[in-house]
Amino acid sequence: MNVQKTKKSEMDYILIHRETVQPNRAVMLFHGLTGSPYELKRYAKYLYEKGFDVFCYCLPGHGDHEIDIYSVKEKDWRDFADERYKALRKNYADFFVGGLCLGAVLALNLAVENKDITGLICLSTTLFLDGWTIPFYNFLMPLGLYTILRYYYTFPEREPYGIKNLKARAAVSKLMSKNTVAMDNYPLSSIYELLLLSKKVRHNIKKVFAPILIIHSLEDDLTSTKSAKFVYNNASSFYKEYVELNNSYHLVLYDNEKEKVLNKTIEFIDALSYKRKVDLKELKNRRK
Amino acid sequence: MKYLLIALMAINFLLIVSFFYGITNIFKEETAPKKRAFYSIFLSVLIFCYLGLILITGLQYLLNASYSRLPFMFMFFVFPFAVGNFVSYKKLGLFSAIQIIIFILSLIYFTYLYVKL
Repeated sequence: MNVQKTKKSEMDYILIHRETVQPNRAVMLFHGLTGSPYELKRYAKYLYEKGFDVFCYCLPGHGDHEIDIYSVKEKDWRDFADERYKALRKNYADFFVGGLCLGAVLALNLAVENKDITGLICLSTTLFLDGWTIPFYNFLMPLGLYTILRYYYTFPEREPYGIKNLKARAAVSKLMSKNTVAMDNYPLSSIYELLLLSKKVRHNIKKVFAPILIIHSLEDDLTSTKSAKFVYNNASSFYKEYVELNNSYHLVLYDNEKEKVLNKTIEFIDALSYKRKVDLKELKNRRK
Repeated sequence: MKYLLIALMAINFLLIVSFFYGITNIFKEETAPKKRAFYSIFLSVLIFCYLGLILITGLQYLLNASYSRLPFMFMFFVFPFAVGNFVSYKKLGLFSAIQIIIFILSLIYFTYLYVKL
């Protein structure tokens, strides 16, 4: 396989099967808040090896994007995702959209507007900020969110960095201190925008019809399973699968059950592809 | 009422000084995120107390039928949220100044109420 890596942003991570005249399957992935496409690299490579073209874009407010994290609005994320989706969708028969944390919320929002998404992959969906590392003074959050303080306050990243596996945690902590692949703090203004987007998605969740795979850890430190269950119980998708992880925190792609996440993703995608094949077969039979 | 107003003035004064000190010394890129976070929590606690005291004082005025003071109490309660609604990162300096001016005005008003007692 010949890998073509194009770089629109320095941090975009794109894997395309060049030898295929008309590739028929693609996945677009979005990273989490204050993260980067780096956190999806391993996942993207795995999907690429399974025959998908993979697109991981660096979201506005992150990396070398012209909009910085303090100025970014949730509309910037929505517009960015929509624009990229519309540009790519026409080239593929099957198009999956997924993401981690903010990325999952963004994928859900995209599905509200676009009914031709083949499937959604939501990892650690953050619709409510209610994980066990959310500090005790969280009750003061509205005062921070709705006053001028939101541009002053930053949540410093701290142990366990969303990772239960000690080895992976040490590696991520090292990378974070360099502030290149992920920031070492969350500005409250960006959390405010994430919460606005989450509110919008919660409000429109009934308009999501695409099949969904929801993967969430029981011990997620940032957002409890309430978010995942909300999506599972309220989305109008005809096919929904909810997988709970028992031995991971928020960054499920780096944690103890990363293999399970990869396998479940492929199972989900294959199940949909299989269904699609069956549907096509039925359609052909009916035509005959 | 006297003690409520004294507490309000004290918190108000602390808010002005802390905001000013924060803007000029703490909320800078070179400051460690942890320090900024703790300082923001401190400011949140001050604003929490400030708003709480305004609510209690306003309620007292309502019970005492001093209705002319209620619009001011309401205004000073709402202003921090109004500033929060319109602020943007690009105009942070301007809105910080507006916020401090509002705190100064409220301090003047509470001092006036105290003197009138």
